Amino acid sequence: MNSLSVDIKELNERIEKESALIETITLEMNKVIVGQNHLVESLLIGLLSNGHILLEGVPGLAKTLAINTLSNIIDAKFSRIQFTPDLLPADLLGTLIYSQKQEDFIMKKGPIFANFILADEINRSPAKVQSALLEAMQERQVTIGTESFKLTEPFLVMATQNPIEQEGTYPLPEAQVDRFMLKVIINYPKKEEEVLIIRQNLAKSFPKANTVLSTEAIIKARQVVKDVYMDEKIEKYIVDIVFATRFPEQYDLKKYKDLISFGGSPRASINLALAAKAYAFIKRRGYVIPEDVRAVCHDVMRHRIGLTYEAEAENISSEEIISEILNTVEVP
Amino acid sequence: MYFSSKYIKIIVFLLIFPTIVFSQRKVELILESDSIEMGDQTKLFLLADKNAGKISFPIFGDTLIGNIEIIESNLDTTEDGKWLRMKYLITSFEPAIYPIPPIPILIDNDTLFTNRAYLYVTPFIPDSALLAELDTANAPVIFNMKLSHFDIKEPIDTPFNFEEFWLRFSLYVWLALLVIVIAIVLYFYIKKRKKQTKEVVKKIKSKIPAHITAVKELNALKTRKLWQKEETKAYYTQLTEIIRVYIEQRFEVPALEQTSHELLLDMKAIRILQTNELELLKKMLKLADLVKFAKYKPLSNDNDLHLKNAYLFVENTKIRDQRNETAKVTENE
Repeated sequence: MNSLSVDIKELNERIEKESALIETITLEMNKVIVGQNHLVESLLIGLLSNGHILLEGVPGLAKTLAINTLSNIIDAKFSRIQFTPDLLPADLLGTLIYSQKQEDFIMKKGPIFANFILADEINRSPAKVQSALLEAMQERQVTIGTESFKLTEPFLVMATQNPIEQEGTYPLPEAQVDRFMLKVIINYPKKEEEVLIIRQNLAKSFPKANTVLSTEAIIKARQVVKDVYMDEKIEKYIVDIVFATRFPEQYDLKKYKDLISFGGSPRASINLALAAKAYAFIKRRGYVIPEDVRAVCHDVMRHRIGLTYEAEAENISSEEIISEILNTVEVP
Repeated sequence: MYFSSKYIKIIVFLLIFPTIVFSQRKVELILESDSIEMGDQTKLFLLADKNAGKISFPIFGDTLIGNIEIIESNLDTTEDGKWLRMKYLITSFEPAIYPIPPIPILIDNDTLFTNRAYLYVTPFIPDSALLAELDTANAPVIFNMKLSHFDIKEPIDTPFNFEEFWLRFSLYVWLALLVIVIAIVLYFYIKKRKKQTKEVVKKIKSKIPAHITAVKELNALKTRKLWQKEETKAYYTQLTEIIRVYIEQRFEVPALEQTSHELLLDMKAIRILQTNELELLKKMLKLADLVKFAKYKPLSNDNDLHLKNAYLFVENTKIRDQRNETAKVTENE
């Protein structure tokens, strides 16, 4: 008789049961969002692995709609913050206001106190506002005055960047970009999808997603994701990929040595492993296979590879480097 | 007779007297040409007897007299009998007849004066064709000649002259051509060398057919008895690696760098494998993935079956004319 070893068998069954929520979320999301499967999948990966997402795409690709719908499905609080050059950290985090009635300072919480945050055009604000958000993302707590406030879980930030307008922007420093688990590039929908989008928007009533999950269910699912089995071969594969970005010459990729100024950090390895686990969970598997790592590799690594001027001059992107690494590093 | 001899004496005297007088002069002024066109140059020499004593020629500025300008002056050291010569290069831009007065030259403490001379500076005479084009009605009269004022000439339009260009830049052109030729030769040389290296590598690689290596490796795996020693994971890792290396060499698909799913997709796309061969490969890779990544423990029958399937896969997909060799290898092993 074929047999899975006990823990994996049990885990697989558990994941089969727990990951049913993925189907529910996907079903509800598909009611509102047409196409953009990759965006929805990335949102789920971020949600399940407690990471944040940096989105890059032209305006009008349903970024706001996607995260808003997700917050509706999960019965969570959603905030949309439009980043502008005159935005202040207090506008984001909150501030202490003197109440004449109470004759004391009272706390006015900012929009960051929500489960799902859409930080629209994050690079439009100066560094101090970006830092305030990124600190909150990392620490998951906010300090106003002398008091610290924990942010409610799940806490997912989806920040957007517009790739076509670079004038008057404050590009995120590498160290801060690294705090985003995924950097997702969104493309235009397909022709047939766009036809559906038109029909949907011209209909008398716009479809609405139902609230079918609680935030507790997500927190519970996160625990299960952590239990997804990752073999040491996969761990070694992840490390090989990240090391190939740091020392390409050791992986027969000498041509990229002068094109990469810095490779992925240990945070890249951690996030690649976490995202691969979440992806396996989404695919309703209790163990990670190399396909999972490859599926999330571009999103996890693309903002973690620094390119030199030579690379820019030769029009070589981090995408190209990652693809070449995946095609060169031996799969276990 | 008397009359005639008297006249002869007078004539002789008159002929000899200037020579005597001239030969006695110690300083002299000579003009190379006493008539020049305005702007032209001529030389004026001041001569002094070398043996007369200590000679001091006068020092002029840039003007000799009136409108006669001195361009340069220097002592002429060419041997000229008893004379020491001072040479002046002169010119004038004003048409006129210039009387050059006797010029004083100091010899010891005596001031001796040269002879007088005249410099005739004629105006510029344009050619008749040009004069015909000009309105000469109101032209001033200079030296009985009617001239007209006319504008400065337009810049001369000099067309591109290849000969001129070639004289000036031929060296650079040759150098550039040389560099281009060297670059082309180098490019083809490197390309040829790379090709040769690739061919050599290919030849070395293709010396041993992929299926023979695969069968050898499968035989070695069989003898290692890994799964019997409870090393199932290592067994499946090596089994799939042998098959992946075989696929890479046989079908030139980068199987070692692909996941099972990608490999199956590629194999399906190249349409070489039969459905049953593809199915064999799929089952083997899926089971191996479970063992490798999900701690799956297959039955011993499965382990044997997949080894046999691996042999079968290699046998069914090897290049036809090499099948006999495989059989020999299998027998020998």
